Amino acid sequence: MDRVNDMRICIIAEGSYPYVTGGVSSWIQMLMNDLPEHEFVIFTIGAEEKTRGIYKYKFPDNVKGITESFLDEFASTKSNWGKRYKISNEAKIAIKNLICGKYAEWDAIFAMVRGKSYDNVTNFLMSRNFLEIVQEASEEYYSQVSFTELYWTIKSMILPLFQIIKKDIPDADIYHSVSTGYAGIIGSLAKFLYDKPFILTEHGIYSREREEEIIKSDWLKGYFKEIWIEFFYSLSKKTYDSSDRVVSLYTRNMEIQKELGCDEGKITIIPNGVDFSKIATDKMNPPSDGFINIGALIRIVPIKDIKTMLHGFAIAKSEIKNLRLYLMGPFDEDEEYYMDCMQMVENMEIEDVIFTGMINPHDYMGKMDFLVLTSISEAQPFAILEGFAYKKPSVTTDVGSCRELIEGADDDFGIAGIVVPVMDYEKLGNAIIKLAKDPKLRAQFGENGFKRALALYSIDRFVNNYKKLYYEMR
Amino acid sequence: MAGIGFELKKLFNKKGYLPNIAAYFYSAMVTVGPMIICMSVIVFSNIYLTDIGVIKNSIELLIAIIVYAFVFSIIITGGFVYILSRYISDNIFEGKFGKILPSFYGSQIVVLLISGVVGFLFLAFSPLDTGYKILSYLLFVEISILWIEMVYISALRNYSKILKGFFTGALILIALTLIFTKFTGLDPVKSSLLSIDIGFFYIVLSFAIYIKQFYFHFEPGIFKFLSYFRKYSTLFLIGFFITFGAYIHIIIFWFSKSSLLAGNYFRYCPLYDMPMFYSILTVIPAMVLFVVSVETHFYGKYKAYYSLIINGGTIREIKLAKSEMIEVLLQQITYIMELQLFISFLSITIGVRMLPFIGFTRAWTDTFSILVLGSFLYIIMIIIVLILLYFDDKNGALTVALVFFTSNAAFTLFFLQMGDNFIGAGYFVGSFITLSVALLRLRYFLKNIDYYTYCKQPLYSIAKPVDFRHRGGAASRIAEVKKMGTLDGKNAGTEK
Repeated sequence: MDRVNDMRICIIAEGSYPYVTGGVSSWIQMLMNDLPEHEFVIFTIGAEEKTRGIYKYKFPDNVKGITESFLDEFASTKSNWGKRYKISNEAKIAIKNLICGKYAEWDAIFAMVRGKSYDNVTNFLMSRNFLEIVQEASEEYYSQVSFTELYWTIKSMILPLFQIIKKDIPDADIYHSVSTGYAGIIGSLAKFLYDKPFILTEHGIYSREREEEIIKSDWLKGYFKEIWIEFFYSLSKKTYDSSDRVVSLYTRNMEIQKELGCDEGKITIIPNGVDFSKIATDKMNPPSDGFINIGALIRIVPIKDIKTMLHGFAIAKSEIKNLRLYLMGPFDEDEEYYMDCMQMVENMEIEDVIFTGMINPHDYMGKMDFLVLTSISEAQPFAILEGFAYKKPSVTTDVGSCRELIEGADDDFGIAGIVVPVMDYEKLGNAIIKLAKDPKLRAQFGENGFKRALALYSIDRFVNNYKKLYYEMR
Repeated sequence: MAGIGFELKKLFNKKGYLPNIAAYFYSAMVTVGPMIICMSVIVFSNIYLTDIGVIKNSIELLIAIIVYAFVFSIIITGGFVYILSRYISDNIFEGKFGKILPSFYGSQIVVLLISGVVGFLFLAFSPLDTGYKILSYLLFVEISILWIEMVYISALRNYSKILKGFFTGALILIALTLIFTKFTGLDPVKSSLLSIDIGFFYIVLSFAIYIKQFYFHFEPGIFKFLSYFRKYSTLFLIGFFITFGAYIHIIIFWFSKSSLLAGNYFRYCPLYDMPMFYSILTVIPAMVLFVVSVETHFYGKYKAYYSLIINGGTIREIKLAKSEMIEVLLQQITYIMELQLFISFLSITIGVRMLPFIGFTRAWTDTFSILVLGSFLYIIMIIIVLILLYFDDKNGALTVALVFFTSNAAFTLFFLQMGDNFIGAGYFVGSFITLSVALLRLRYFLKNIDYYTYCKQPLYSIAKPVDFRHRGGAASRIAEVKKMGTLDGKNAGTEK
């Protein structure tokens, strides 16, 4: 296996590596680090140009280059309005279908945007062709909607998309997108242009996440929400269709992918892996200082729902005095939210809450009696897996693959913690109390988790699976 | 994904213009006022001075002074009028009323400077005596100011005030002429000129007072309006060339072999000037009709169309409004053309019979006939240009203005070589060609109006809506305020 020819793999990441610390970015870093025989080049899609060059990760040696692109990039060249381009009928229909939320022939769009006569996106958006396409779409599909708003909505939708499609994609042997969305489109584009293998690994389901955000948003009105939601689903569908293999982290995600139209035969499950060799085996046990230490390995951001965590802890604390909560992770990402949390601790007079800031998990994990994770949205959190490696059980919310990790998907390793509903601080409090009061239960859960992690979620498994995958794909 | 957003601003909803029979008459005064005023003053002076026995040469000198004052003041202020119209209407729309009065002062200063220098240079080298020089200079400068005032006043639409002003000025003019010539020993021609100066001074002063009263808000910065020259240099050029084009053919005849010299200095050419001035009077109906029909029939459809675009109309509503608007527009243009053509032919018929009674020779009457037709083409062309400006097709309007100026000049020069039978042909052919260009341009524009409305807006664009102004300064812009926001971090799939 190690004799595999080294290949050049292009990792395509959106809104994550290397700008944002977190699960997906860590995963990418891990992948590149643990496959040193391969070369990696990175193609990133960020939201804001101003984050260019600001990396939160140090590239391993086998990373040979990075191409950055941003959704708000805007070539402010002198634009020519009112041009008439010669575009193929297929392209025209494809764009119209994309706008109308129908199945779109993306390859026709790729061909058009990459074509020689297509000078720049701004001109196209100010062209007669574009206006006519929107007019037709409006006549056929959106006849009750404000036309002008529709025109501008579509413009704002197409602009970043076409800008991205026009970008130069680095040469590689394999293209590997780490989400659908724009990253998936770039991968699909690479497939279209170079006919090289294209792999997709999905952590969270991008289109579902966007749908949730859009539904909640208050600045988009009725119809236009739908247009955007359909748009993102179209990006996903194309990615599923173009990819040669789709990797999912856990079963539930695989089911969703199938629902969203992904060909079942393409899907493989390769879960995350934790590096057991890095476990500080000498620091496995919590100190006997009379306190029960509860740890949360998280960034202080709203999606981790720290507030529910604090509230649940407060409930448990009122019954059990010797509880201590460690919030272990950076708090500079969302200063306002951090302030809110601090305020909450003060207002509710919760004692023994410690914000540690950014730390090395290995320094702290052993000290914990158990872990807690109250996220509103997760894929397959490393926090829980690392906890298992240290034989620590977890109390988690029922999101992503958490239930699978705690209770097992189809194995006999037993239960490794307690799963509670999202935002339910009462049940959370009760779960904490239950674990705090029962050391034997904790030990049993911890042992179960450890065995599960060792068998199914080790980094060796992870690395081997990907080595095999890359090898098969070349 | 928060951050993608756009704003829409409502079309300025000014109190509508209510049709009023009197308005037909009032708007004529404002739009064709200059010509009528000029003609009336000339006719009055001519008749009166002849009557009291002043020699012909002196009368010709007076008429020449008046004509030159009018023609060149109109040409100089032509471009300013268009730009100021736009400036005023934009500021009214934005509610920045405080900017209007300062621009009035500022523009006066600029125009006074230009007219002052031009007038001074022109008169300084003339053989006239000092008295004439001063009086002529005064007239030239006063009228220059008057044309600027007309822009500000016509925005107010208080036509009775305008009429009263002119009427009183006329009375003063006539009274003083009589007094000076009957009761003083002053030279009659100089007395006339002096009376004219004073009469116009009264008009200029009373208008200035009225303007100051009405636009009382004053925001410091009297030269701020100059920024519009950079922004809308096209408008200035349109105004300049359209105005200059209307007189260039006359000026060319002043240098032809049939020209005469008044007061040993002022070139003129009666066989062309006289028919020309009378022919211009015949197109007043078209102008009046246009102004009124635009405000009554067209504006509503125009506003409906752009309102739907800004305020969330569906594509079918917009299409319907568009075709209605175009239909009404074409209807009105056709109607005006038909009516004016009829009046033009009627005028020719009447002219052939009546003009000899006021001294027209046979040749002059023939010239009159051609010039009437030429003026018919001219006025329709002007109407088309105004419409193009309503749709903010500045490039189209400029093209037409340039074509008008060059073809008028070129063909007039050309036909000068062809002998006396072709007097007036240059104006006719030039206007015909220009009208054709204008119509083609309008047709092209209306066919492609969607592209102008939507495609032209840059991705980050803020444009202003505008209200109408009738008269030559009218200009309008597409009414949209849109801003495309950027996509923020939540659009890309973010980290957990």
